Order: sequence, then C-alpha cells, then structure tokens
Amino acid sequence: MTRLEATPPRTAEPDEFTAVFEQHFDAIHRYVARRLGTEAADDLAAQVFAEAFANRGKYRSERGEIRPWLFGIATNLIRRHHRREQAAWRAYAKHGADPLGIDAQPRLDEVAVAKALGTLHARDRDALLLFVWADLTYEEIGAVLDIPVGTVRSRINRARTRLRSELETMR
Amino acid sequence: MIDELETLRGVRDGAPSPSEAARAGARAAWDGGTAALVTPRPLPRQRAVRHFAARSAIALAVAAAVVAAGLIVTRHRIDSVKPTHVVAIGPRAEPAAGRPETFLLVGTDSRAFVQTPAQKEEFGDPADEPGQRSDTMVLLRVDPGSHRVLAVSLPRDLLVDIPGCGSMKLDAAFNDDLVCGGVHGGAALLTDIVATELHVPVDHVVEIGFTGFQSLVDDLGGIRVSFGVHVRDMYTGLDLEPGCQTLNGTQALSFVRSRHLQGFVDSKWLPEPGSDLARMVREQLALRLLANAAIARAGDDPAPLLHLLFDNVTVDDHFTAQDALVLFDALRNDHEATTMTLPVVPANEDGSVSLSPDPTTASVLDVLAGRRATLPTLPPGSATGIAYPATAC
Repeated sequence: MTRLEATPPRTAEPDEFTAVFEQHFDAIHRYVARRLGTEAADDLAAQVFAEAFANRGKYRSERGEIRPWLFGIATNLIRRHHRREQAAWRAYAKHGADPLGIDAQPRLDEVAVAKALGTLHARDRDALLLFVWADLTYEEIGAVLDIPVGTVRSRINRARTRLRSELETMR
Repeated sequence: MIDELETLRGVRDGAPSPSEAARAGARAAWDGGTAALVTPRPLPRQRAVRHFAARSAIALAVAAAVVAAGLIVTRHRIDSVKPTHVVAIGPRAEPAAGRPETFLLVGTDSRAFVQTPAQKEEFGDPADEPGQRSDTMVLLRVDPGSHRVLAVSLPRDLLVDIPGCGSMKLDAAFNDDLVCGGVHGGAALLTDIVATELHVPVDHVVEIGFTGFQSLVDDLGGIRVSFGVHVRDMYTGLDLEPGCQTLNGTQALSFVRSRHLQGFVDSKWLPEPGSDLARMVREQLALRLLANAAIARAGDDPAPLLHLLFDNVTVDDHFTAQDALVLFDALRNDHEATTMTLPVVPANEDGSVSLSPDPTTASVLDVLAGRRATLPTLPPGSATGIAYPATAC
C-alpha cells in the first residue's frame, strides 16, 4: 500500500523476481528485526515480498530503485505495530535492557536513544530510521512515503533534535 | 560532541541475519508466487495474505454460547428464535434428528466492524487489513446418543489442496481475498476443503469475530485462569501477573490470540518458542471454561443467552435452535468433553504442517466423520513449545 500510482503489470520475469529476493531479503529482514524483533521479522519480511509481488504492477522503475520501494512497503507494515514498537522502546529505556534481546548490554547513550525513539511520533521515527538504518536518501524517503522532501527534512530534524536532547539529559 | 546518529547506528546493530528457516520459508512463498505467474491458472487476487500479529484465535466462546442457547431451547419454545447473522454454505444433507452432528467453529479476524478511532487503535484499520482470515478452526463432533463431545483444533498452517489454487494453508480457504477456480474463500469453501482433504463432512458452521468474542466473555462473567509466572505478549497486549485472575472480554481475546508469549523468569523476559500449538492449547482451555460458565450461568430464564449467541456470531443457513439443543445436551452430559489438536508434523520450513502419518490421526478424523465410534489411544501429548502453561482456577 505504498502510494505509488498504478501502472499496468510488467511482463512476468521469474528470474528477475528471484534476483530481487536474493538481493534484498536479508536487508529487509534485518531492518524489521531492529524495529520489531527477529520473530516478527520472520513473518513480516516474508510479507513484504508477498506484498511487493502482489503489487508489482504499482512499482514504477522511473520513480526510483526497487530497494527503497521495498523499504516503503516494510514501513507500512511496521506502522501497523507502531504501538508495540513504541512500548518496546519505552521498556528498553525503563529497564536499560533491550526487550527484544538484540542489544545484550546497552550503553547509556543507547538507552537514551531508545527512550527518545519511544517518544517520537511514528511518522518521525519512520523517516529517521529509513534514513539512518536503511540508508535511504531524503529523496527516496519522500518518494516511498509520498511526502515532499522538505517534509522529510523537517521530520528527520525533529527526530534528531529529540534524540540529542535525550542524550544531553544523560550527561 | 554528541553524535546522535552514530549512537542510533549502534542500537540493535547486532541484529542477526535471518535464520535459514525464515529465509527458506519466505523464499518458498516468493517462488510459489512467481511460479504462479507462468502457470495458466488464474492468479488469486491476493493481497498481503496475512498479518503476522493478527492471527487471532477466537472460536471458543461459540461453543459456550451454543451451550447457553441449548439451555433455552430445553425450556422454551424454540421455533421462533432465529439466527441474526447467516452465511450460506451451500446444500447439505441434514443429519436426521438424534444423529451426531459436526460443527466447524471459526474465529475470524475480520475488521469489517471497526468504525471508531478507538476500535482502529485496538484492532487495526479495515483499510489496512481488509477481508477476513480464519485464525481459529475447531471441529466439534457431538453425539446426542452417547452424549459425547469431541473438539479438535485444526492448525491453520495445515497444507491442503485447494482446487484452482493448488497447495495452500488451510486458513487461506476462508480468506475472502482468495479466488480459486472462480470460487471466493469463505465458510462454504472452507467446509468443502475440510470435507475433501480431511474427509470430514461439516454439518454446521459458527463464526465469531473480535467483538463478538469479547462481549460473549463479558456477558458470561469472564474466565478464570492462572499462570505460574508473569506473562505478556507485546503483540496482543496481554499482560498477566502470576496467580489466579478473572479475564474480561478484552483480556480473554488477547489470551486466545497470543502466539508470542513471554514469561518473566530470572528477571528476564523469555519468549515461549513461537508456536501455534501452544496457542491452540490456550484456546481449548478458554473453550472449556466458557462452556462451564454458560452451563453454570443458565438459570430459569436462559432466554437472554440465546439472543446473546445470535447477536454475536454468524451461523450457516441451515442452523436452527435445534442444533444448539443438540450441542447443549451433549456438553451438559459430557463433563469430560475431549479437546485436542489434530496431530500434525512439520511440512516445510515456512511453518506449514501436514497430517501426522501416525495411524491415530486417521482414527481421530474417522471419529469426527462418524466412521468410528471411539477415540484411539492417543500418543503421549507432546507439550512442545508450551513454556508457560495456563490452568483453570
């Protein structure tokens, strides 16, 4: 349900699809795992590709590469769980331990960042994490979230400010 | 100098690569989808096929309410009491009066009822999660003669052959986004597949959704369960301290939906090995408790309970209050109603399962279909994956 416009389905090229999976699955899985945990990622990463496949007619190569498009789909799926994600970040901050069990012994600055992530609006968190964890450009984030680049910039700035102030509080 | 982005890059940087099993499962699904492109059959109009956290599990309260409905019909004229919500399942041979009947209870995750922002927050937006999936399927065999009741949970990941679509998981047959050979998924297709794949003819269908389940539980006074440790599920919102407590409708719903249970042990949250089987065992407990509550609750004027049932569930177009009577009589007389999960073995690495080759599996299906009278001696129950058992209290 990325908001890219529909175009007629492309010709079926199974080899091409296989290559897409091989090339991007691990990165998508890892991104989801960092936000929702490994177990959730097992389900959700597969779902990203199922949805990409079902909506392949909506993918427009002139709008960008397939990688950001896949991260866009992942973001939409993750957003359905934003309250749980938020609760997990808050638990991380409260207990100083990662409830997903990924960070074994978080440093204090990581805990502070987790706390900030738990207070961000989902929209700001999406933009920030697509930028930092998925390494998308502002333009790519704008394209997959269907928002102007200026909006991407302001969301990321707002999120960064939040993180910084939490880190400063810690000192 | 603080660099917040550097710190953020380090957070959960050690997230592991996907396991081989997860990768292979997703790859198999992906290959199945791409392969379907080059086959001549029509591609199902399939969207995001399922939603990992929304695998709800509900059907159970149905039996309880059916029990309650049965109470009424024993004391009152029943012919005037008609179901409110009905789904067509096609022509069926009605069992003769007094003959055993087989009910299929289906818990559905349909969000079609969602209207208010609060409901969107709690259950998800129907725009994001269109259609319906069967998250819970229980076959219930009721014999009015012997007053025996057998409830068998069907794993939703059971691989079946759906004509026009090929090998799919059983719950896909209920998915109304799916079209196989021109037939939409739903109660009718699901009962057809249960008949052709499990060889169990289904006489009646009872469907229940999120809100129907909640209000049934609330109106029956909740269910009392106990965990040995503090448990939670980040996906369903379940959060229960150890010890005996009464779950209201909302808590009971998250109790039966939870497949990502964590227990607080040694100052750490430890996950229960992800397993649909553990969830089904919790479902069966809830089913028994609700049946008991309905029986205990029904007094001299059980009429409201019948209306409660028909307000909150959808039944097939052959279902009458007489059918509720059959179920009630049996449940009332069989205090040891047997609940179990259909024996299955892993099929693929994507979590799908197939019927266990053990001969007892066929015998269980024979009992459900009326080809055999008594259950075989079951192999010792495998408690695999049940880290934090819940008990009645």
